[in-house]
Amino acid sequence: MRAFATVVLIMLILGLETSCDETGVALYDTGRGLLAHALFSQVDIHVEYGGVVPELASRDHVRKALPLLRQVLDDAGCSPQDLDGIAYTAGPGLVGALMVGATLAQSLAWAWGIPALGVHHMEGHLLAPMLEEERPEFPFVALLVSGGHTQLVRVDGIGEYRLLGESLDDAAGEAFDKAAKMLGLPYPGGPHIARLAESGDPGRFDFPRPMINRPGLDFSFSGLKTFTLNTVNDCRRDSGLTQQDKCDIARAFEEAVVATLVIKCRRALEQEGLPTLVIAGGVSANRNLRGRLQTALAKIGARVFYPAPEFCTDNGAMIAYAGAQRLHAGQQDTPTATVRPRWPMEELPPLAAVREVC
Amino acid sequence: MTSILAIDTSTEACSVALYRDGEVSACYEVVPRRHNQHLLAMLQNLLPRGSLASSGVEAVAYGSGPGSFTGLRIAASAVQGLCFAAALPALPISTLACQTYTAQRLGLVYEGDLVLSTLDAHIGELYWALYEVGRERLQELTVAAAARPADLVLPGTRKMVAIGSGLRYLDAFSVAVQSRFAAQHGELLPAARDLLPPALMALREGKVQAAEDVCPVYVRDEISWKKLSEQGPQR
Ligand SMILES: Nc1ncnc2c1ncn2[C@@H]1O[C@H](COP(=O)(O)OP(=O)(O)O)[C@@H](O)[C@H]1O
Ligand SMILES: [Mg+2]
Repeated sequence: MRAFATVVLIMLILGLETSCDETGVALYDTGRGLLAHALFSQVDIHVEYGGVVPELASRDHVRKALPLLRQVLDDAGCSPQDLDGIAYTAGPGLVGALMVGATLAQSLAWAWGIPALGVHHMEGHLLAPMLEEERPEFPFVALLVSGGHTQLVRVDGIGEYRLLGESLDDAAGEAFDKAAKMLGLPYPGGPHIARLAESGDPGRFDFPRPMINRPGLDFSFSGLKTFTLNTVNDCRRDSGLTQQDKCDIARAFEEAVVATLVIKCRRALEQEGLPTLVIAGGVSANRNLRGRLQTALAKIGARVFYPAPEFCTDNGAMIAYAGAQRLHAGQQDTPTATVRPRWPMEELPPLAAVREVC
Repeated sequence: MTSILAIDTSTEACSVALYRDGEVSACYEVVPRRHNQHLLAMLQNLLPRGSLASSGVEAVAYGSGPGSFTGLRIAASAVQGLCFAAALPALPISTLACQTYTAQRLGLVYEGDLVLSTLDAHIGELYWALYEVGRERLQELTVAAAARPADLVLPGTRKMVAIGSGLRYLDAFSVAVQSRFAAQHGELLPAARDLLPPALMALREGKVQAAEDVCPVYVRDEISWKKLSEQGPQR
């Protein structure tokens, strides 16, 4: 088997993402790269509830997955016979939503006689910058900032992760969403806050930068949330919450989150002695964050890499990519594989160890 | 030669069955909350070669609902995958009808009987539908619905056999409803092999679905989740 390890085998992998409120399907070819991807976002379904309703999310994945699959096969000009494996998001995420993608992937794989593999959603996010032309090289520090996670991770290779710090309460994206709700903005709030912040006066409010004076690489955003709510209430009491108030609060809030993230990222790179940062997850789409990181890291001779905007939030391409790396190394599901709504990323096997076994 | 694969995961039971020219092979296990881990192993058991089309399977029947939402989606997603991959049609069958065939196979109901088929819908409700057992097929007298036990009202005056897990609410049924029951079988659960008789008829009559159209019949479509306008002020 060892001799085979040097043979470069090209694989075409289908990726399915259904962990939350987007249905994503993609085809990744280990030789040619990403061939096609399609996404259906359920935002419009959940917006009137002010957050994701798990049952509605699961129901919609059932309706959307196959039409999207047909679409990517058509777009890529591939036939099912060309496929070498199927990667699906096995966790973390909403259990009912994960179950839809997992069951579909496993039954397709069984019927086509190809392997399936459950992929870790955050590993997908973390590797999404690898879909770009200019890719970061291992080892690097990754900042994962999404609706459910805020983590700093040291990455020495695929599956070689060490958690450096994480949020002790709300995730950064969650904080964006909650602040948006306080300002009467629709779900998901991140992009709306960012838009208002552009017209906000940075000098009007000064929000606390949580945890920056404490050593270590953990985050906390719940204090910021309370501060935001108090500011909203103060404005409301004084003269009613005007549009300019909203813009100024959005600006101050974004500044505080971005400043905190930038300081911790820089600290993490210095602590680990690494020159490369990767940011991924929904919040990494934030332009202010990208700009500020770039400037701050340039000062210490470090570089930041991020995914294309469409691959910052949930998508099938990152799952196809992550799955392709592991399937290519020989990893695949056991017959009783199941979804993992909670799944610490550090439990993932290093790719090197997978190759040893296979 | 006719061959149909059948899947039901609508209750705590997970079951699959294969019909081949009058012969039925089946697997049935009660595995609450672990259906997804058992389903593929069961399919592998019935069809060791994995390939549906070359094993002669012409269609895949599934218990479409009502039942546990997650369970219904497991069957639907599996059937989508199988039918898409093997280019086969799907046959949606009511789980309440399936359970009535189960009762018939077990000799609990006979031709001419009126049957109240129920499933526990949890959160204090049940799913129900009324059937008459005909010579060839079941006649559906009411469409599947969800009800609180105390609100259940049965049409007509005839006595009937009540079946299924919804009978755990028996004491909460009105006296009028309880007095209609000639017999009760609350321990029953639907089994995939009993999807086969109605599935064979559906296939013959061309009542098939494309893989993309495979979708659970939830019956309960309203969601107990408050919209923003109903949530009150943000804290
Ligand atoms: N431009 C942006 N600025 C800040 N936050 C953003 C922006 N775009 C998206 N987000 C946030 O990203 C999150 C969604 O990212 P995603 O990776 O899909 O998260 P998850 O998978 O954890 O739900 C939401 O909380 C959203 O508010
Ligand atoms: Mg995500």
